[in-house]
Formats: sequence, structure tokens, C-alpha cells
Amino acid sequence: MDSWGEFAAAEPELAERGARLFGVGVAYIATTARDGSSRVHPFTPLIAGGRLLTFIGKHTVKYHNLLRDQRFSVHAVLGDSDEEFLIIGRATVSDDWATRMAGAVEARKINMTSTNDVAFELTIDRVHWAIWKGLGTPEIHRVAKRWEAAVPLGVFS
Amino acid sequence: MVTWGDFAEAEPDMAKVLADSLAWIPITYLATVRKDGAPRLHPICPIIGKGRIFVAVPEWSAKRYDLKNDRRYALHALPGKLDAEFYMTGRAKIIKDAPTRALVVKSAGHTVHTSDWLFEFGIEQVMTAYWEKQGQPDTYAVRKFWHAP
Repeated sequence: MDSWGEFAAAEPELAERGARLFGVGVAYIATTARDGSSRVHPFTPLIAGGRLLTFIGKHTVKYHNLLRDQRFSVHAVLGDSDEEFLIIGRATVSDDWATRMAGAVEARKINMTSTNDVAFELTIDRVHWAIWKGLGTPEIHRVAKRWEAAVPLGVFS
Repeated sequence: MVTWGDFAEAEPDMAKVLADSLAWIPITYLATVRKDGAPRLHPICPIIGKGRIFVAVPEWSAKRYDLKNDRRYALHALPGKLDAEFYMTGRAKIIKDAPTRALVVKSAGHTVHTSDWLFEFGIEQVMTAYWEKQGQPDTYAVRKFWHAP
């Protein structure tokens, strides 16, 4: 399990693509409900100090789901050429003053506000990135890259 | 669990939230349950035809086994006006009969390959929301919930 900074050090180009997609201010996070079914929620990813952070309201379903089961899957909003960026990992509460301030600085840049929330750090097991070439043609195909914590990047399509 | 048509007849205003979102960008986010119980998340293009809602899954996509085996799903549309949200949960059912496949192919706004696995989404719960006072500290969501009878 790596931090965003460790991932970015290993795969700077991939991290830059992910940061750009996350920069729109909204992405989607899937969590696990009490009954084992999946849930999906919009949220705001914030990259601060080499960490992937988010503020999650205490009243939300995803807050309780992540406290009970840390596993998550995050998908950025699609970019050009249906560019995909997906992270699989675990979320941990990181609600100390320094972390909150680091996250708040990034949140302010995109006019994000929230109240009664808790800061979480999202650590990374795997990253998947892909674009689609030949969209709208019979020759459509996917070009993808995958990165795993402590595992070199593989390229497949 | 009901079909899209049953839901849309019961709650046309809520159904319109998804219809409006798909008319803007035909993409939603689909969460499924992996074999190890962890959540999986992917963008998909839902296909609505004759009162039913489907997805075509490429034969290489791992989520086809999630939908076939566990069946439980959650789907969230992209934000609309006033950050409008559409959220739906239920169970997927694999589709193999030729008439339904033909309906899916005809209704889709994209290419459905013969190798794609087709699923119909049965609907258990739907939530819609929009946000008041956006960008202000006292912003809040106005939510509406619907449960299948």
C-alpha cells in the first residue's frame, strides 16, 4: 500500500494524468455496505503534500462504509478519448490538524466547502489507466497501463 | 425489484433526472462486488429500450462475472444541473435471448458487439438529489427516495 507520493515517484507520467483528471473536483468512490453490496458516491479527491486526501461528511453513507471496511475503488471522471483513471486501495482516517489544513488549501482552490466532516487518506494498491483509440469506428481498441504498489508498470492493450 | 418502465411510471420526475443526464453525456458509474467482496467501479453506458435498462459488457471485462455471480450493483449518474444526482441499486440479470439482444442493439447509442455480455438492471431503490446554496457553507441536498414495492 503506497501513498500518492510514492506512486507519483514511481510513475510520474501516470500520476500527472491522474492528477489532471482529479483536478476537476469530482470523482466517484465505491465502498462496501454493511450487507456486502457495493455503493458508489461522488466525492472530491484532493492531492496535498504527496497524499491523496478527501473530506467526508460524518452523516454520509460512505463515511460509515469506509470506517467499517477500508477497501475502496475510485474512478476519475472520464477525460478526452474516454481516458480512464482508477485506483484500488484502502481509506484511513487522517483527521489531524496538519492533514486537514493541507487538504483545506487544495479544497479552497476549487471552491469546495463542507462541514462536519473527517479527513481520510486514500492509499494505493493498484492503479489502472486507459484511453480508447478509434472511438466511433469499428477499429476501436483500448490502450491501458497498470501499476501495483511495489510492482513495476505493465503495459497491455 | 422492478423494471425501468415500472419505476419511470411510478416516479416520472425521478426517471427524468437520469434521462436528462444520459442525454447530456451517456455515461454513468457502476459499482459491483468482486469475488473477494471488495467494491469494483467502472464507467458504463446504460441502454434504455422498451421500458427496460441494460448494459453491454465487453467479454474481457471482469465486472461481467460480478454481475453474473453476485448480481448486486449500484449506479450513479454524472452530476447534472444544480449538481443533480441520480442513484440506483438493485440486481442485474444476464440476458441471452435473441429478441432482447436485438432490442439492446437497436436501442444502444453505441456499438454492441456480438461478444458482449448483456445484463438487465432490476431496480430496488432510487435516490435523486439536487443541491441548494451551492458553493456556500450552508449548502444542502434536497433528496428524494423511492423503493420498489
